[in-house]
Amino acid sequence: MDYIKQAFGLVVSGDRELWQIIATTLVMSFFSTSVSALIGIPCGIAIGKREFKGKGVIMRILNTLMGLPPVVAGLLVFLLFRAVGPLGSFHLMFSVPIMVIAQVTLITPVICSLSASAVGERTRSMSETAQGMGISRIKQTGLMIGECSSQLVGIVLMGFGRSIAEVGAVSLVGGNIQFKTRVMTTAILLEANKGNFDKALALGIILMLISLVVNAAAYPVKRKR
Amino acid sequence: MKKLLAVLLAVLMLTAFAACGETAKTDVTEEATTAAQTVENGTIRLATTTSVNDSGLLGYLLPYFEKASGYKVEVASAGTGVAIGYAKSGDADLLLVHSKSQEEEFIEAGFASTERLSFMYNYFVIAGPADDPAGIKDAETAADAFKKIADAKAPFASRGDNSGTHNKETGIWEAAAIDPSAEAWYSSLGSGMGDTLTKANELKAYVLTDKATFLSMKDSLTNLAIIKAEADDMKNTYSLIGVKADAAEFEGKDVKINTDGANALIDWMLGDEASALIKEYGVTEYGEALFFLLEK
Repeated sequence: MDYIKQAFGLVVSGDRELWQIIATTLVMSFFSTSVSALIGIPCGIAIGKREFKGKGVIMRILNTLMGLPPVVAGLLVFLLFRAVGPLGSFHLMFSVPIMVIAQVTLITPVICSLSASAVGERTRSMSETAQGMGISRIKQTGLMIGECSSQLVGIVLMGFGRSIAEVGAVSLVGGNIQFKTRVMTTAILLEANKGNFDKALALGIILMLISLVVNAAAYPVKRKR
Repeated sequence: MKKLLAVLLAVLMLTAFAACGETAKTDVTEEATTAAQTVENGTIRLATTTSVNDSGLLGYLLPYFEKASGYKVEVASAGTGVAIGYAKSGDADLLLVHSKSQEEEFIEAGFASTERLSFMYNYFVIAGPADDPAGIKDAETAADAFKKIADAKAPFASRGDNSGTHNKETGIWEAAAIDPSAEAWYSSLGSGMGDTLTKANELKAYVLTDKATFLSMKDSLTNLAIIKAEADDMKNTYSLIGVKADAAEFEGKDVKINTDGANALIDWMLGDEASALIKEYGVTEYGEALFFLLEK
């Protein structure tokens, strides 16, 4: 109970650093999730909608990438973008954009693979009916997205969950710099390392609350369908 | 009840997003100023180890430097290995670390613009169960203490993460001519200092730790006490090393090292103002200084 009290105490205390951490976390997760969804969902629909040679291989690769450890994704992005790396001239190390890039490599396969399966399941039941009614391909895709939208929202939320809860990749490429790249998870890790378990847990509770709020906001959208 | 919950959620959401919007704006301006400063070389990238950062020393010192100089210091903290890795990748302007062998390797590889500027130290301590089952209290040196722990087969918790503290521990085992890595009483935990102390507390194990972290966590470490402190071979020396802008590895790469900034920070850290501040650090909170200055 004390922990919950402390969490709320932290929130209402208006601690500037805390709000900065929350804001960075939300900005990062928002962009990571949106970019991943913008890439992942169209790819997923394209793959899921039809049968073609090599689909099984692609799906297997995607499913393997779903299990990509965050630290490995972070390491790859770090090696690419460090100043001596091939993309070093962008000078993105220790910034929010590079944290987004690392997370996009992590989340896109998840969104792509899950939406491909979601669409694939519906396709079988829908395509026969649709063809029988003489509906065009483009319209079919539109219908499909409408039919699956509840699942797609769920998939995007899962991506958001992975993004906001992730620590390995963002700490490696972000450097956990105060007032710049520190996010909720790296702040929790730092406080836990310092032995401030109370503060770490309070931050954890705030992180859960943020997740709850985001999910609650998305729930009506999901429900409607 | 449902209505109440809905209202509560709505309020929470609004505050979160309002705050987010607001801070996001300051973020953008902050980023813009950072970018502007980078052009004028106003940002210094300092890579350091978690134990330096966790002790709170930098958070206490750097605002004075930033105010006096106008530079902005970005502290990236990671394990010693990663911190040096950042510097080798051209992503740090200087290092503040405490692992002699790794520092020397860094300098030999041609990455350093300065020598190894050792400027302050403190002592590692051996913490363990208060009743001292291995009887290390009267050991002459840390190596003797480790020998006694091995003889008694008393539980020992190791960082096991290739950090400065872990390297120090490995060095002491080597001095004691013992290889504990396969022993049942030896746990290599692969975690940070705070985490390791918590686990040692649960295991009722001996553990090598820096004093600052131990003192800051004292209240939660109910099973542990400082058993052995201030032997000659437990000195923990902190050094600054500047990164060389034209290191061979950086040739042909778009690496921008802020040499002026790094030198300004080094000069300040070695100067009188910082010395006076370092001497005072921890005195009010713990009743004793946590860092000492090396004789110049």
